[in-house]
Amino acid sequence: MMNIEPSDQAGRFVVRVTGALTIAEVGDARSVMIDHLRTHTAPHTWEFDLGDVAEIDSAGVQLLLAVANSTTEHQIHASVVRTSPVIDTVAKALGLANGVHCCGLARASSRETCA
Amino acid sequence: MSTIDISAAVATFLVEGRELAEELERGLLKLDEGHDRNDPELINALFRAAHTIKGSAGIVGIDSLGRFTHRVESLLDRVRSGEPLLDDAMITQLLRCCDHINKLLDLAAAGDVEGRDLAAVEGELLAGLDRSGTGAHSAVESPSNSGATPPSSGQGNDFRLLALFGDDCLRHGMDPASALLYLASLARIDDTMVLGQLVPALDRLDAETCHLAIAIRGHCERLAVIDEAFEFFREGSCLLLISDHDTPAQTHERLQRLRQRASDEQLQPWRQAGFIQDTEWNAPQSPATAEARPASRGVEGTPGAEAAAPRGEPTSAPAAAAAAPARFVRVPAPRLDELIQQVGELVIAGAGVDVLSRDTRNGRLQEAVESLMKLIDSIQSGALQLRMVPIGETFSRFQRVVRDVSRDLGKNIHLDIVGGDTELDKSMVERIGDPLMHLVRNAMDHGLETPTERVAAGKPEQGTLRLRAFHDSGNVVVEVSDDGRGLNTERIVAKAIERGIVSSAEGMNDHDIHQLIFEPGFSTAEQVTSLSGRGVGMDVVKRSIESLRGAITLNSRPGEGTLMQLRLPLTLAIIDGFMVGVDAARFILPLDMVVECIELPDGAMLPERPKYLNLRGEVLPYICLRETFSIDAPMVRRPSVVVVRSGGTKTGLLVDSLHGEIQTVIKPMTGIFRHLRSICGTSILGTGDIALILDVHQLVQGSVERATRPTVNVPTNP
Repeated sequence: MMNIEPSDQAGRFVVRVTGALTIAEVGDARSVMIDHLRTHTAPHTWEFDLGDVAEIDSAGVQLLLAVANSTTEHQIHASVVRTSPVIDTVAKALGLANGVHCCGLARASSRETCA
Repeated sequence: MSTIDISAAVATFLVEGRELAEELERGLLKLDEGHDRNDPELINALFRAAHTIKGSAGIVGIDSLGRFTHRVESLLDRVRSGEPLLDDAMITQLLRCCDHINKLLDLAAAGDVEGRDLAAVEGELLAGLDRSGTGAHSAVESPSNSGATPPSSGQGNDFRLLALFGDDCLRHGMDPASALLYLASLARIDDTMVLGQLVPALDRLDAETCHLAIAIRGHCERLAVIDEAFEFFREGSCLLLISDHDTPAQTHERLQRLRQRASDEQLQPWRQAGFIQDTEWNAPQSPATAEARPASRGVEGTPGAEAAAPRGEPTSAPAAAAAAPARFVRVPAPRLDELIQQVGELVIAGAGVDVLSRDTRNGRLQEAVESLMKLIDSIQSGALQLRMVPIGETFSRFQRVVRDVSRDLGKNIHLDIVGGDTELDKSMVERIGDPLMHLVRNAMDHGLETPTERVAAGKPEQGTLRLRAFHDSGNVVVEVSDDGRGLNTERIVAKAIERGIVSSAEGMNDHDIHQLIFEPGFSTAEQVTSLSGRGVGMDVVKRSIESLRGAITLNSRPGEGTLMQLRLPLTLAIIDGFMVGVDAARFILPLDMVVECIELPDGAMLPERPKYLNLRGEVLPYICLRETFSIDAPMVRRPSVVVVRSGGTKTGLLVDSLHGEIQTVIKPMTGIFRHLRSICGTSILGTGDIALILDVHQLVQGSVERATRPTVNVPTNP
């Protein structure tokens, strides 16, 4: 079961994803994210907290890549503040994880990490 | 959330699963028979079969099978990593695992995907597998196990894999990331790159459609592992494997398929990152560099072709055939039957039109009808081929039987299969399985001797059981022969007298005595062993064959062996025939059996031998169809003789008229006519008349039996 919890924190729009992000959830996750893109045109800084994603597959990774492309189109500065071990493993296998990026999204520096 | 109906996939898998289990069994039997147990090709084939069963079972939700086969796969993975685990006992254990896989498939077909009823057996089997060492089941998951230590340098292949995955692979449960993680356990992955810009923005994204394009660069001992990792992605995906054996010109040629799927601009990141070299991207400078290589080689679907046959390495034909992606469409058998039935009607209708067009004497119409008939002929040939299958698959199933039974009996028996590619109708193949099984078991149990007995008789220790098939005179002949002790005529006579089948053997030659084993009551449940008999005697085998309009003959020599020959019709709905007439009646003979047709020469009848003709000095037995079918009409002045060959003998059929070749649709005899032995069907002619299709073998056999009956039936004589 996936859950997306948005919150506005000090000028930043924080999206916390928990649970699974697999082929079974990506359809719903896409709809939720599109709604947020439509309603949260400001602020222009989004942060993704993926530290509690318990399961992810290629469909989930693809959704994150689509999120990265969409936020770029909307001129939103998006970054990842936290990733779970499972995301790290899958993203690394796909060559989508390094010190700077994860699944197309920039990694926030430790100073930027949300509380 | 969309749901996927996988019932069709389950049905398909249940069929494929059995085929894979058979493949596994065949491979194991090959190893058991002395094939090199380190042959990487065979070991890989076994691994792939188990791997595919496991993977497919998981996809369609047959957990029991996925779980169990995973353990088999893991063991085979260790074997292909070089562990010497395949001793005789382990092969036996793995063969039992094949049986268990089939049982789990049976349960799955009945709706049980957990297989709890078989848990005890399964536990025993798995314990047997684990005898080979600990942790056989963790090879795939744990990178620390076999194959997980990536080669560091020296031997092996540098490779690049460029993969554009099919739209539906995610929907179908194929996860590129999982495949990549699996590959990482078998090969060293140096670099991976996803083309992120191919993934649309959220508003244009169908989240369940796969937009992933992944390039991988690495090193592996065997390129085949890449095929194994991505084998489930074949359909719809474009996978291009580039090894260090490939020249830039070859890679350039194969890249075109990729460039049709993605624009050059989209592929640029791969160029920039060195996954595609400039020399590969650009057209070759010299035509000489563009060496001929089939454009289809491994570009679409699978890297298997490259993996199996890197450039410069010799590849055996079977290996190449196995690597080539075969495309098949599974069609329910009843649909084929219906099609063949309709083609039969088409042939009849065509023949009717042909007759009518000739009556009109209209040249253009006749020409058009002739073209039509050619097309019908072509459709007919194609339709008939659809239902023809090689008998080899049926033969192969006996390998396991021979292996197990010979061990049970303490005999050393080699199964020799000849003519496995002989084709016959699928329905026939299915129906001869049981009679063949009985004959094979009989030969092993009663015919072939123990090694000690054989050596004492001056024979090789190993006995040979031969299954042979071939086409002969429009029939398929299947032989079961052995080089054993042969039939014991004295025992047969004694038993036949004891059973009241004959009162004495007086006047009976060896052949007549041998035929007694086909008499009802000769075999009984009390005297047959657990192997060859279950209360089923050779009379039942004979009846089974005859119900297929076939015949069984026996030839045995003491000390040399026994040959059982089954002569079966192709049982196709349409045959090429030769039509003859007696008065107004029309008969059709299978064309293949016709040797020649002649007008009855003067003086050919032999008054002293009423059933024989003098044909150019040769004494030829003949059958007068007028008498056989009791046609009450005066004999024509100049009758004709059609010489037919049935088995090894020639026989003449005396007829009034010859009508020539005809393509004939067999309409099977049904109801009260189905047991008529000399007639195997009827056909409707273009004129609307009915012709009887003769079963020449039965006709001749019946005639011979009638002629010899007083000699054989000893007890009936006072």
